[in-house]
Amino acid sequence: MCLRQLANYRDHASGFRDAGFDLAALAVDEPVRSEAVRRENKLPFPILCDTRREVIEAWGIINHKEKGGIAEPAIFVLDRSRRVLFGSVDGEFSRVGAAALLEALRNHSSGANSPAPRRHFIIATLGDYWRAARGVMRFGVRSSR
Amino acid sequence: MLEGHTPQAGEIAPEFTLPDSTGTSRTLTQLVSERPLVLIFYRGQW
Repeated sequence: MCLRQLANYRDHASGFRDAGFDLAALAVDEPVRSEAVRRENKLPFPILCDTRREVIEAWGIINHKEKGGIAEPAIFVLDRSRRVLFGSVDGEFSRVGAAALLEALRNHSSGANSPAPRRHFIIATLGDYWRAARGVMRFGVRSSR
Repeated sequence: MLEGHTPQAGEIAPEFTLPDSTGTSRTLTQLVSERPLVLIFYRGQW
């Protein structure tokens, strides 16, 4: 489940690059374990190792019920000043995957036509896209693997 | 900081420094320095 999510982002890595975004993953696994995951799955992006749970605690996305605390599945899109453009914790986008997020980010980058202020623009775009494409994405993501 | 604060849209995500899987130290500021970043939190190997 977790690794399928990463493989899903790997499969869209060039798309994110072309759209102007870098990728990184984060988990509580120690470096040796994460490096094995990175190599076995041929991930073209770094895996950050939050073994002391500093980040997931500070960010309030730690699941204490499992194994000393693990990260809730979550996605954050940050601009170059670390400002959050979009965040999803254990929600639809953090589960559904790369294709839907990439499409929404492309729409965001291309400007599209929304009267919303820039800061809120991506949120509206993602929400609208999700509602419009919900069924397609459910089936599409699964069948692509 | 037991509860923590999940950065919301429009807020600046707090800086962090972590090793990546190769042992290289990375800061969030470095990770976003070239281009915007999609940061994927996942459960881990198990």
